[in-house]
Amino acid sequence: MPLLLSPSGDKFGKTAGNAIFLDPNLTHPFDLYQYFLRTFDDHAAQYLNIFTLLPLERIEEIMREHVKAPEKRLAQRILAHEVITLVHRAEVTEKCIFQTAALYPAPSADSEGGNLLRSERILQAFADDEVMLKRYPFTEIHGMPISRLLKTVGLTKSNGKFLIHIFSVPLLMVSR
Amino acid sequence: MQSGGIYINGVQVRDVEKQVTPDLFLDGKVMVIRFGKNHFKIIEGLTNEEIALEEELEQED
Repeated sequence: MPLLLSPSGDKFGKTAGNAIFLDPNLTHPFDLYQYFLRTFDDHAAQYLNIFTLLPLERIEEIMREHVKAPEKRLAQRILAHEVITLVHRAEVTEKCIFQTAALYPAPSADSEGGNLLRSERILQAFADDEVMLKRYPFTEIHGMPISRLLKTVGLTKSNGKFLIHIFSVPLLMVSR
Repeated sequence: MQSGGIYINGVQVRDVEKQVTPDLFLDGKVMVIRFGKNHFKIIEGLTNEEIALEEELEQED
């Protein structure tokens, strides 16, 4: 079994800080979907081979199509679709696709979404998802440092130290 | 220590001490925040009027 590496060359693992879990309580299905959707082109074929049950011929066919227009992210979309359907259910995958479309609307989405504002589309897509959608009074969060907001919504455990990547360069930020 | 890039509505945040302001909300209402490659939250900001209306509706129920 080959050692699986992330796009940055790190091994998958909790200590590397890039762990993903199959348990929806540890990694939300939408986050898992986004993870595979953001797979680098170089890793797409390998991940399709390892993480899906698609026949090898089908994977080769997908990759042939993918290289014709990599910007359409065909391989990543199929990878994310297959993984989420295997791990969770087809309905969960459909919901992830709907939520992704609300966050990243295609140029033609204006006609599909009627007169809805982008914010309304997003709220509609995540309306029944209490884990993803957090509601706060403006009076509570206006003026709050972003580091504290991350902790408040549960994206980080502390508002102390962050290793953030800017143009792939890791920078240590220490918040007050 | 937490690791990963921070994005608000798809725009990278370089200063984590920057304060939350109304312009960070799409249509003045929603903020999409991503930390790292695959950690998302959607934040809906509520006005005092919306909170009062929700409380009213809860009491009616």
